[in-house]
Amino acid sequence: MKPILLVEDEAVMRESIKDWLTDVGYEVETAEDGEQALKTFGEQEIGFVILDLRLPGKDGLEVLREARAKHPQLKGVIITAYPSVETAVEAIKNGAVDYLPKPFDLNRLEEIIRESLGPVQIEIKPSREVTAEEVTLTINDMEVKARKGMTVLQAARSVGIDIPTLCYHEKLTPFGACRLCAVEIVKGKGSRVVTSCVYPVEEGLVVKTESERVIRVRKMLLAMMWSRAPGVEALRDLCIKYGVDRSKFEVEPTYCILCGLCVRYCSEVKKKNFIGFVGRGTERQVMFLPEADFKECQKCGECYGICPTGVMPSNYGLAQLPR
Amino acid sequence: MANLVATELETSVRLSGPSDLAELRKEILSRRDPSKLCVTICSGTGCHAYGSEEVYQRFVSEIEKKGLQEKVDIRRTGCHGFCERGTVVVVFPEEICYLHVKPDDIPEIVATTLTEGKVIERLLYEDRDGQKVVHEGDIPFYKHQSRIVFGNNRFIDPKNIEDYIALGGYNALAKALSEMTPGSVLDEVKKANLRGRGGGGFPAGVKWETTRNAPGDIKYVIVNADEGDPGAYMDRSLLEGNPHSVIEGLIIGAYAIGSHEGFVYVRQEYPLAVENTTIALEQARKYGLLGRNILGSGFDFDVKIHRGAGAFVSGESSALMTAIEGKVGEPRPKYIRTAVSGIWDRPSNLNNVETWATVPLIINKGADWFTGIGTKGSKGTKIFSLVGKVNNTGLVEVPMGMPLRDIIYKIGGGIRDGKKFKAVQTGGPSGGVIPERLLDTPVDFDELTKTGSMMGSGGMIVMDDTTCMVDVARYFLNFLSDESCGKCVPCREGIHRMLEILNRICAGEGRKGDIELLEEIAVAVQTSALCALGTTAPNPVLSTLRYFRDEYEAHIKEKRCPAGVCKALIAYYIQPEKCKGCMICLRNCPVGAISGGKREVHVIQQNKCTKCGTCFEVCPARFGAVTKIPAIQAAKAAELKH
Repeated sequence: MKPILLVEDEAVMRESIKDWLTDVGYEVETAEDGEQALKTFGEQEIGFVILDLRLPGKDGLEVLREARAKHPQLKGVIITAYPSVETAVEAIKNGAVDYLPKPFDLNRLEEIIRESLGPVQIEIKPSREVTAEEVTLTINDMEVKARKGMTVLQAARSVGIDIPTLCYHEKLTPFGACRLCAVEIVKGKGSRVVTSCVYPVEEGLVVKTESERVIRVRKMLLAMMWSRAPGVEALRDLCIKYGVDRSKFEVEPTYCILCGLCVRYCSEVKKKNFIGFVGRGTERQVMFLPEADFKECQKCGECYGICPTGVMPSNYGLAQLPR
Repeated sequence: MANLVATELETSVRLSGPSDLAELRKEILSRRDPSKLCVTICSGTGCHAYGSEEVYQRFVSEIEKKGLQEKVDIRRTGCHGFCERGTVVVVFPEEICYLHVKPDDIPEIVATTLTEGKVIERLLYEDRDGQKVVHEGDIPFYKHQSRIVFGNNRFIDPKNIEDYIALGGYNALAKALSEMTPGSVLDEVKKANLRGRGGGGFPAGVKWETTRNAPGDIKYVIVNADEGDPGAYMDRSLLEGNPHSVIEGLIIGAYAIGSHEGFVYVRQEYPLAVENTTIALEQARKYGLLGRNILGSGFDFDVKIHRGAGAFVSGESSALMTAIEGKVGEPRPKYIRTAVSGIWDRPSNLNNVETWATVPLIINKGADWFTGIGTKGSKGTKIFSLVGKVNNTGLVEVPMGMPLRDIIYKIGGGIRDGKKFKAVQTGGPSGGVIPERLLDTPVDFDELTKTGSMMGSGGMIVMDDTTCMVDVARYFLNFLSDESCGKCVPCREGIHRMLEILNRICAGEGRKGDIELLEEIAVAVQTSALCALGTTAPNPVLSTLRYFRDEYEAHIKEKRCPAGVCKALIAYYIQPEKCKGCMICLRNCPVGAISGGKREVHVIQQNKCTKCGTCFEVCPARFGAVTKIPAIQAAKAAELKH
C-alpha cells in the first residue's frame, strides 16, 4: 500500500496524527511545509495526502493543486482550524475528497482514508519470534521437523496432524482458554498434559495428540461447553467425533464459550479494544465497552465471522442502534 | 508515639558502609539499657481487634500519671503469635507475659508490676493442671516452637528501623555487599535448599539462578504478599510486624540476581502491612540501605509497593505480574517461565514474604546452619496459622519435620471443649484434609503431599467431630468459584459443576453416581486447567473423598449428615425425658417454633423450625435436652403421629 503524506507545521498535531495512523497500520510520511511536501511527492509515490490549510509559505490548497497537477490520481483531505464555506468549496474544487475542521475526530479521518486507500492489509504476526534454528520432535510416532519458536500446534498442523481448537486463530495471540488443544507430552520418565497452542517445540519432545488421557479431557471440556452453548454447529461436530454425552450437564445456556476471539480480534487486528471481558468466574462475560463507537462497529462487523458459536452477530444484531 | 520515633531519627545519618552500620548499632545499644523496664504491647492486627491501641493509650496516660516516664519505656511491637489470648503484653527485662490484657487492667499492672515488681497471677497463662507460667518462653504454646524468623516480632516496633538494627538487622546485607559476590550469595541460598514458603515449595536458589542467567539487563524481584488462603495470616503478621526482615532479604536477593527494581505486591485488605512497609522503606532509604549506592557498595536498588484489587487469583505468580503491568490479574500459560519472561516480558523472580524473610538468616548464619534444621527434603522452619477447634490458636513457627500431632496437641493444646479430633486441613483451597491415623506425618513438603494434601502457604485448620467433611469441600469450592478468573473452561465450568453437585448433596438431594461424576470432573480439571488455582481446586473434594467417603455416602444414600451440620439433613429435637420445662429455649426461638409451658415438656414444631441452632446453644448444659437428629427420622416421627 502506498504511504500517506501528512503536511502539518504544528509539531504536536503532526506527531499525534502520525502515531494514530501508524497504529492503525498505515505507513506515514510527514512534512512541515509546502516545499518539503512537494519535494516528497517528487521522491516517492504517495497514496493519500493530509494537508493543513495554513502552512508557512505555500498554503495547503496551493500544494494540493500543484501536487495533483503532476499526480492526478492523488487523493487528499484538507484540515484546518479556520474553516469557512469559501475555503471548503475551494478545497473540493482543487480535488480534495473531504474537508475537516479542527478539532476533528480521528476516526472520521481514518474512515476517509480507508474509503480512498482501502483497509490496511493485515500481516500474520506470530507471538514469539520463530527462528531459523531447526528442532526435531515426535508427534504421534511421526518425526516432525519444526523451527524453534513454533508451538506444538503449529508444528502438528504443518504436517497435517489435526488438533481440535476453538479459541485459537492463526492471526491472533494464542489464549489458552478452551484447553481443547490439550496434548500429552512425554519428557523423561513422566508425562503431562499441556495446551499445544502455547507450548513451544523442543528438541526430542514426544507428543501424543489423541492419547486416552487427552481424549478424556476433551470429552469433559466439550460436555461443559455444550451445556453453555447447546446446538452450536462447531461444538456438535466435535461432540460427535469424540462421542460426548451431551446430556452430562444440565443446560445453562449463555451461548458464549468465552473463547476471547472477538476480544483479541478487536484489540490486535482492529486496534480498537471495543470489546472486552467483564467479571470473574462464571460471571465473566464479553461486553462492548460503553465508549465503543457503534457507527464504527456497524461498518466493521468483522468479529461476527470469527465467533465460533454465532452469539456475536445475534447479540449485536439485537442491540443495533438506529442510524 | 510519633514523637518517640522522630527523636531517635533526628540523629539519623546515611550509612556509607558496613562500618558505619556497626557503629550505629553500637551507638543505639549504648543508648539503651537492657535492665530498664520496658512494656511491650502486641500491635498486630489480631490484638488490634482486641483493643491493643486502647491498652497502649492507657499505659501512656497511667505511666505519666505516676510520673514513671523516665523509668519505663513503652513499645508497640509486631505480632507475638498467640492470637487466641490477645492483647498480649510482655514486661521486660523479666519477660513477664500477660495475656488477655484489657485497658482496665493497666492501673493494676502499673501499680503492681512496674512499681512493686510483683506479678499479677490472674493475667498469667494457666496450663491444664492449673499451673501458672510467668515467662513467655515457658508457655507451652511457645516452648515447642522454633521462632527463628518470627521471633523478632516481639522485640521490635515495626515503625522504628533502629529496633531492627539493634537486633543485628541489615548485618546480612552488609556482609553480602561487602564480603560476598552476587554469585556466592546465590550459591549460599542454593546450598541452604530454601524452598518457597508460598505453597509451591520450589527451590528459591534455582529460581534465582534462572532469573540471573536469563537474557536481559532489566530484571525484577517481587514479594508476593497477596496471601489469600482463608484463615492464613502469617505473611500479614510478618509484613506488619517485621517489614525490615523482608526488605533486607529482598535487597540481598536483588544483589544476587542482578535486579535493581523490586515490587511488594500487597493485597488490598492489609492496610497495616502497607502502612508499616511504606514507613520501613522510607526509613531504609534515609539510612542508605535502599536506593542508590547501598551502604557505599555501588549497588542500586529500590522498591515500589503495589496494592492488590481484591482477587485471590492475583496471588498466582503470572497473574500477579500481569496485575503489576496494569492489566487485570489473570494467569497466563507458564510454559515459558516467569523467571525468564515475567513483568513486561523481563526476567522476574517472585518469592513469598516468609521466603524473603528467611534469606538474611541464611546469609548471617550460613547454609550449613540452616540445613541442620528440618528434614532431608525440607530445611529450616515454617510458620503456620493454627486455627479452628484447638485451644491455642495463633501463629506458630516450627522446624520442618515436627509431627502434626505435636503441633496440634503440644502447641495447640489439643481440641477445645473436650471434643474429639477429626481432621486437620492444610494448604488452603489447594490442599486437603489429614485424618487422625496420619497425625504422625511430619511437617515436610513431600510428606504432606503424599497424604493428598500439601504444605501450602501455612494455613492449618483443625476440625473436630462437629465438622462435616462434605461441607468442608463445599466451602472451599464455593470460595474458589468466586475467585476463579474464569478464563479457562475446566476451572470456570468444572468448579461450578462440582459445587452444584456438592450443594445438592448437602441439601439432601444427592443422587447415585454423584461421587463418580465428582471424581470424573476432578480429573479433567486437574489435568487441563490453566493455572494452579484450577489444577488444585479439586483437592479438597478428592481429599475428603479419600478419607471420609462414608460421610458422602451417608449424605447421598441415607440423607444423613453424621456431623450434624447440613441444615437440610438435620432436625432439632427436644428429648422429653431430659426437658425440665425451663422455657429458656422457647423464649429464645426467633420464629416461635417451640411450644410448651413452665415445667411442661417443650416441643419443636418442625415445620416452623429454621434450624438456626439457638435452642441447642441455650439449653442449660446440665439438662442437655436439645439434640440433633437426622431430618428423615424427624419426618418419620411426624408421619407416625398423624
